[in-house]
Amino acid sequence: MYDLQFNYGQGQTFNILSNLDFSYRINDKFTFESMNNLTYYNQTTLSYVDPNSNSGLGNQGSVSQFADKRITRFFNQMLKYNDTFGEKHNVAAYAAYEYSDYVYSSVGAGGKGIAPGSQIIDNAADFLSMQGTKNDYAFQSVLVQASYNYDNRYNVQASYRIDGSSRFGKNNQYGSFYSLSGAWNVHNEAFFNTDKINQLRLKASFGQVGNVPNSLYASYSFYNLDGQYNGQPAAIPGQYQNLDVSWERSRDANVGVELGLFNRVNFTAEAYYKNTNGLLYSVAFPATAGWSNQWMNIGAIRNKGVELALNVDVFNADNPFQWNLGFNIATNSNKIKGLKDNTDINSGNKRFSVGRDIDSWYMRRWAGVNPDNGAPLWEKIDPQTGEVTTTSNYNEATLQFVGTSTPKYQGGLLSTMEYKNFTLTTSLAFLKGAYAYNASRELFDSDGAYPTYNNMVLQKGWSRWSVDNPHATHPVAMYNNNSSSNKTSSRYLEDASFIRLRNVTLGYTFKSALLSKYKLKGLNIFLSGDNLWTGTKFSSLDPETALSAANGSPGESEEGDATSQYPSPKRVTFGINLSF
Amino acid sequence: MKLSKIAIYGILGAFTLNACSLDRAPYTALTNESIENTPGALEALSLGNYHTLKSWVENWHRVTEYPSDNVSLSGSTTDNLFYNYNYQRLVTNSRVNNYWSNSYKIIAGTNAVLEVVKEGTDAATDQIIAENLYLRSLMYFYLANVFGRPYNQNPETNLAVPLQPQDNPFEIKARNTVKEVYDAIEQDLLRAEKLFTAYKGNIYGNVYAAQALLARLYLYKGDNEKAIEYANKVINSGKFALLSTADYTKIATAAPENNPETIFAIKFVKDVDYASDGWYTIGSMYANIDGSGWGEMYASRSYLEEVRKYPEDVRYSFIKPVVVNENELHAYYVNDDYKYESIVVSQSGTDYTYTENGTSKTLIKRSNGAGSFEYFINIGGKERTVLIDKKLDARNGYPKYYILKCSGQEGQAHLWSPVISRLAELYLIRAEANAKLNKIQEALDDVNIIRKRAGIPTAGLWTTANLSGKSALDVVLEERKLELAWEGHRKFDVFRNGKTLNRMYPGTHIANQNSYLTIPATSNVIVEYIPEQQITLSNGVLKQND
Repeated sequence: MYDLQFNYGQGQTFNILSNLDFSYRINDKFTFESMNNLTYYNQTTLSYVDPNSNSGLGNQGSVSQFADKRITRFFNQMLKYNDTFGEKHNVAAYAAYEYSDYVYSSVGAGGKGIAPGSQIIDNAADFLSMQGTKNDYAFQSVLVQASYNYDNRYNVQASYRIDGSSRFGKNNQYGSFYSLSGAWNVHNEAFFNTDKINQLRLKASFGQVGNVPNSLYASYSFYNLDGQYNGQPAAIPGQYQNLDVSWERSRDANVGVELGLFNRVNFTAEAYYKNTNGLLYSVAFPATAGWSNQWMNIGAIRNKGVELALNVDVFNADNPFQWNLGFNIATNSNKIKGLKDNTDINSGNKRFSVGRDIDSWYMRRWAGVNPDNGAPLWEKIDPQTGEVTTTSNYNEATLQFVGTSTPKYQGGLLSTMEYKNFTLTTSLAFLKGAYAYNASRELFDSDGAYPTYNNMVLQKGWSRWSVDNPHATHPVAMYNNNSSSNKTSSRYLEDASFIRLRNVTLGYTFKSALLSKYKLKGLNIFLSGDNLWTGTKFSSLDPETALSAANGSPGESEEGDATSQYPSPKRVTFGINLSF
Repeated sequence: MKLSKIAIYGILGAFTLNACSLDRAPYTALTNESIENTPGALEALSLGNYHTLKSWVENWHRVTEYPSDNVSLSGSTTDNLFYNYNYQRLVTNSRVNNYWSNSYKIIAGTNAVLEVVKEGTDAATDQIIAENLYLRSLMYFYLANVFGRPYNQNPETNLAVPLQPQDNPFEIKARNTVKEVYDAIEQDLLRAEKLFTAYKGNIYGNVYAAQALLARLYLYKGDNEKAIEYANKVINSGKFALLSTADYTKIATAAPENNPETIFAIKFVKDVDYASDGWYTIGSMYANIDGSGWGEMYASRSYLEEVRKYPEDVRYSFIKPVVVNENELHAYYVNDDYKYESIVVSQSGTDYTYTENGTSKTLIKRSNGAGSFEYFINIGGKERTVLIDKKLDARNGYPKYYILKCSGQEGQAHLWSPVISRLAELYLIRAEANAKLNKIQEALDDVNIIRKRAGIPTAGLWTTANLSGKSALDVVLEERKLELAWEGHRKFDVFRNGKTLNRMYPGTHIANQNSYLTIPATSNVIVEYIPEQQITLSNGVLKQND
């Protein structure tokens, strides 16, 4: 706290977005549209550490400045066609060329040994730091799309595109993708004449899309130049090249139905089946390779699921009390269908393996506490016979699959009630069947391994081993415990199922008659609560953020623990909306 | 109408012209294409291996020094270095994994260089080959000793680490035996010895460094004649000289090039190689200097008692007891639970008195034979050694005896260029080899060179007459501990000689019933586990240690 009164940081951001868009109507049927967009972003920051502050003592104060710049360009040139024949036939189509690119660069420097108050690096007595980098990427695409509509009853659409990305090897920069979709508005058919059903629409689609890696230069070998020895520049092998790395392709088939009843009930159902091939992943080499990693198209994964949504107006439109209820639920399951050489790939505490969920946890399986001495137990599997025994030696325990962080289903409920001037909205979210790794328990539920840390209170149903309580969930506690009982295992893998009251808002809108006296257009007051209640067995603060961290797509952060994210806050807000 | 058309085509044309190319290459790295056209790329690749040494050395120090009896940790820590220190090995130890990874990164880096150059092209090329052979040998030497059992324990069957002779990331090799790895090191070093064409200074691989490592390799193998031969090559080269007694602390504080004793050191450049005010350095664990450093691991009681036997011993200048009260003298001793205790004493001449149960008593004192005294106290039913200090600051009950040997280069709090070989070690290699060949006088002569330089009075030097039951080897090993502490030798010195490491002194390595107080050379725990992550990545090709 002592430092806060002296030291500070400052930042300025400069951001320009410029568009040059125009459209030119060539004739009744053809239009040319051009979108040309340029953004320029620049940020400068200053960090000042006073020579009199604690952290400034060693350097006699320091001043550092940093500036970065980002320029993006986007061009889209499109020729559009639209025509209607004989009243009922409508055709629309376009062909377009698209290009976008991105360049980022930064530079920073710092000096140490400053007179108090000085913000200028030139005034610093000595060198402190320097930094700077640059990167870029580009995309270009050619695309055509056509759609046909007959009498608002049948609708079909087809598209085809070729995409190129600078992130891939020169051998494989381009990929071609397509989609086909159709819909039938049954309720517009002459034979369909019931007033109970106001909408019935069937739809289906099939298509293929491409994904790029999050690395900007996935195809290259890197001899990184960020090193030096004794002030001489050095090159260090890093990523290993793969000139063939190419687009990840997802083929997605989708069918759905939309149903409207009595003008009060809406129901939609959708089912999808998605096959992804050429899954992109940065595969780590064993350290003996020297090179760190290689981007590969590692395999195939299948996703399938169903999404249902129901929306009901509970009362007639003329009822003074109005209640709208919405409910949705979705299931998804995935399975790895293939991996390069069918070899498993490790990813932090998870492991990709053919036939398994991509978010499968892979760690030692906790087997409880030895009732005789309170020692931790893990499963040990004999590699030959498959026989499962237990061990108190962490190193001997077997790594194995112990569940997934993919939920069985999830959904929400939204209710809106209105009566006279009052409105009450409530939203609930729920999720079932996912497991999250509660990594913070390695520190706070460590059976005495870290006696100087805060320790969590044992939850309901947990108990500590003692001679009098031999059948316990928690091992014996020892000062500076070195039994490794707190090392990564399914002990800290917890069911993160939850049901959460995401928001409740009660509002009151004042009548306009009252307001006009004060020359107000509108006045509304509300009381709103976020995340007021969560029903869960998860022992850390927030199962939801723990899971969102746990389910990064491959290549992104897979840490997946409850400490790496801020929990969602519990919050009560009172507000007034005034309009003049 | 016409004008707008021109504008449209103009804009379109401009965009398409500049838009077509998707060629982008990294700015922060050379690629396979650009490296061939970059002059000096080979030198840069070779320097890349030295660059990685700077990351390697951090965990090299933790895996070699923390399992020694030179250090005492004052708390438990979430940092996996805890398991290097307390011998509670963990297959997921991130420090060990990092050490393994950086070692092989350097090995692969040297392979990448060695594959593209041809021996005999020119002097500069041969120099590059020799330097890279030296670096590769250095990596294998420590890998073999960290992950493989000592050479005198069945080197033909015990496994060390895989030899990875080629730059091919897809080739996963099994572990070679200790003997195979030692043989490969010997071949590389002998080849390097012939290829060095220049001496670029002691911060680059050089012929003397290769000879020094050979001397050590032969000593570890038990080939004592060869060890002496190679120690002599370095000692007699005249290239290096022991620092004077007065300049002794320059081992740590001088820039390595200005240190006549250093044969090879990994250079950390002032300011440039000094991030975060030195908080994440090797020295930061040992001391807090100018507000920087954790200062959680202290000199062990066993080291302190040995180095303080002669107050003149300059090696104690690398220890800084942190005093909280200048006016209060304490006699520090160790109780039966291996915890520090102290009692207030007052000095009169060479005597120290204290009060026990209301009566005044005097500490037992014994002459060290060289004009000074060692002190003892009779307490808790037995006589215990005491060290007398002004009242010391303590952490969790462990008095702070900061270690300064890994800090303070060129005045920067925790800057340090770790020393791999220096001349003092060569004298001690020769001494040990002579002791094992039963050439006692030669062995003691070399030990005495080191002791004299340390400032120990003549009465404290060894003669065949004053060994009083100690063997010459005991004397050499004691001297190696005193002289080479915190330079990554001690653990190997104990176990390769079949001795038992004695850790019956205060520190958090003693916690539960399963703590290791003594570790015999036959114990499984004297070698680290192969990192589990590496076994998994190798799809089980790498076999685990017992």
